[in-house]
Amino acid sequence: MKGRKISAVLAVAAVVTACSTGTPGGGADTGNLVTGDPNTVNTGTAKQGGTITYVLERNIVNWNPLGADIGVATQLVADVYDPAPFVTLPDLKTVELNKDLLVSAEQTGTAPQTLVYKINPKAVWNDGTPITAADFDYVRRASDPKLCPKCEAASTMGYDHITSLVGTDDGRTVTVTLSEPFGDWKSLFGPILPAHVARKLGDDGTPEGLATSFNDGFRYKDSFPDWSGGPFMFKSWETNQAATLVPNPKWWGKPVTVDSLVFRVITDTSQEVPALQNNEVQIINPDPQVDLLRNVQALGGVKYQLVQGLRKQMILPNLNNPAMRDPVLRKALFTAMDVGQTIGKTVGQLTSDARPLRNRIYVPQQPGYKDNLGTLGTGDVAKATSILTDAGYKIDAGRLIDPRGTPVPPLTMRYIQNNQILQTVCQLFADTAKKLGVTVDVQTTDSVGATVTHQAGKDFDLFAMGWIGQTFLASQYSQAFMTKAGLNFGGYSSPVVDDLLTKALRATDETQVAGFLNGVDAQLTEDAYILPLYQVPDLLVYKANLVNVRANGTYFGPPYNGGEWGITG
Amino acid sequence: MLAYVLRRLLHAVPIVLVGSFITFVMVSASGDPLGDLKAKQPPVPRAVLDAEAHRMRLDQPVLERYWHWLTGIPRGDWGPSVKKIDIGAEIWPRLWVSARLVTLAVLLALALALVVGVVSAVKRYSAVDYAFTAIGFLLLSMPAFWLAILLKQQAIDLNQATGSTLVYTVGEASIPPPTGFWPTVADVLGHLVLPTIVLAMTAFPPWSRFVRSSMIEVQESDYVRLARAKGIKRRKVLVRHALRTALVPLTTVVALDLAVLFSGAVVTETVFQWRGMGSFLLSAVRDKDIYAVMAWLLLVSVIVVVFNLVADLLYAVLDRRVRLG
Repeated sequence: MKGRKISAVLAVAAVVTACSTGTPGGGADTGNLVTGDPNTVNTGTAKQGGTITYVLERNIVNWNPLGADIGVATQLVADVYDPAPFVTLPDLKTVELNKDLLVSAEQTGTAPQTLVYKINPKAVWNDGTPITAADFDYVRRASDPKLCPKCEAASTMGYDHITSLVGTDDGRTVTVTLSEPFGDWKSLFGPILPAHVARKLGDDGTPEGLATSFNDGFRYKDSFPDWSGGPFMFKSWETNQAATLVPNPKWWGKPVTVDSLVFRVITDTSQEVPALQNNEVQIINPDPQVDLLRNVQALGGVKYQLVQGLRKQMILPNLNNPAMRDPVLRKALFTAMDVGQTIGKTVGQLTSDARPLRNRIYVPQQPGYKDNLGTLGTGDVAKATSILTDAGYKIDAGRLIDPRGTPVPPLTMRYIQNNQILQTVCQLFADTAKKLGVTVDVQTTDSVGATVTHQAGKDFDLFAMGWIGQTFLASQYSQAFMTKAGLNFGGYSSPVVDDLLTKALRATDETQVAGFLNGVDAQLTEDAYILPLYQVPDLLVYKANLVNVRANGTYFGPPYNGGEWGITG
Repeated sequence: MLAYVLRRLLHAVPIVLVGSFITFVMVSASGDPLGDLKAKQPPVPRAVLDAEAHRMRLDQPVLERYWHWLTGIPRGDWGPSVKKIDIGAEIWPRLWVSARLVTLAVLLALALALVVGVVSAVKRYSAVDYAFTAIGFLLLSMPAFWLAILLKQQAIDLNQATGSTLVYTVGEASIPPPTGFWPTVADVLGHLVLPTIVLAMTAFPPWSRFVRSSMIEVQESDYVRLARAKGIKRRKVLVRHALRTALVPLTTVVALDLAVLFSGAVVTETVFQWRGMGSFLLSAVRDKDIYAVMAWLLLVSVIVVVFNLVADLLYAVLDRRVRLG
């Protein structure tokens, strides 16, 4: 009966994620699959004119790309009008200098850490105002809680260590000094905001004025940004409908070829393919699902790219609950889980190159990646059983009894509702746990955030969840693994990990950072905290006559090079 | 009549108030509106979370929150939104979007229901009656989203066959919009066609069955037989005597269905990506946007009250034996 249930679940498991730029699994027709170097694939020359419509899956309610409550959609649009010093390329490892905005950005000193940004002399906002140090300083003031306690900034990391920001050469050279080294300094000022516009929006030099301009002004609650420092500028925005952008006449970079770029809101993924087929939109970037991919493969006149993304799926144990506090039990459960087999029954339907992720911090495309998982995820039930029995556990009549003689209580495992792939993962995990005498009750939640932050008795023991990866790893994972950090949802605490992460944050050499972070990962394996599963892929589908359109599984998304998009004859 | 309307509206006030309080308590207990913000990567500073909790009035007892919400509505303040949208400014245009869609769909569905219902009743147990019955039950059993997908595919095929986009599958209008009067009209109609048909096809089958059964019942009544016996023309008997009486029960059904349709043709709006009341509710629930959900619920409860009243008033128009007072 159980087997039939699992089979039924697998049969309807439509939402499937996978990794790699490899070929889709299941012997699918891959005639319109585009492969190649992720940073240069689909390069071509476009003719002048035309409109390209890109689908956003969520509405935008805050246009401030540095705001705390923005979604991914805000960043996707910001890519084409609001410049950042560095951009992460589709290969997931190259953090490239934005040469339109900057001539150079270098760390010129380490004690104290000193950063020098040389702004491109041609760089101007669309009203002709030069881009200067003042724009960097505005971002710094709004993101440093000491200078603006009420500013609702998404990240304050690094900014709180800045002791001075000086503009020279008419503001075209920006020199930043930090009190403590900040290894992820390339994440700073990404993106910048126009200081002269901020003044119009309320920045009068006081903390209150600064907060007003940052929280309310750049939000553009009932309007849209009327400024641009990128290839496109806004023409119109209708909430829940679409943003229409046209070429920025003051753009100093490579000329734009299209007449307009539309970001259209379509919140139901299943409606994206018909809209593409009917030529109402030209680019879609949906979460890959088997049936959706089959539809795409059957379409004429479209191409698709399936690339590795930075998003990961994992199983998070909740150490706040007594049931999961024993590392022996966690280690046994994670050792018994066969991640390879799980992938074969889920993401393998989408790509034949899907592989288990054997590191919690790095993905295989990044230089720091190494296998730190040991026996975790191997599906070795015998080993898992011996881990338990060696620690004094015993399995009595199909139930696991802990060393004190108390039966291990049923565990609650959650996943976000309607995610059938994670439902399958949970079912397989429950099935495996049963072999160790542990009952896992699989339940859904309608909000990851509400579940992981629900403090009173946290209502999950295990959580199958996604993790949005970034290229600035020390910053991100210090928040996930440091004691009582903001994203430490499982309540993990280890002085060893705290120390390694502190060192990683201060290290400015990438090899050193990788050493510290892999040390963190190894300690997490030792403590059996979090079982990584696989990378979530990024599917980009577009009309076959579009060039320079590329999948980018990072936070920047495909519009990272939106100014280069074009239509061939 | 006016006194009756006022009395009915006054009776409705306490009902809406009690209902709103119960739903407010339930919606408030349904989850943490700041949950997603708390789970942001990178994490949001503590001070921001505290400020958001204060802005959302989460630091107040639920009774106080309800009172602030209720007393703010007459001033046009529908409460703070998690997504910081202006709920009042958002919901009225959406009501208009739904109204446009529902009005057209209801008119189409009513026309179909009357024709099919009357023909089926008059040609009872004929091939035509059986055919209409089969079609009606087929549409009744077909999920709206499935019908929508089928129609979408037909529309795409039509567009590809003609080489131009005549019918659209998403949204209420093209972006950027076409220039010129006739292209604009064609664009609006091209976007209206599919959702209107889907909504009408899901609404008309039960209405046609009501018309059919009412007509059969009325046709067998003494006064209709008397009218026929007096030699009044068959068409006149059908329209002036039988149909008018048969419309009374249909009025009740349509009035109640209208409220449901106005409150959100959720599936149709989702499939065709129309930004009406249905998608407003879905977004609000997904974002745990308490005050947005409450705005929707309050508006819908008022719509239910109003359409029930309209149905009662129509009884008096259709059936002269009914006296309001």
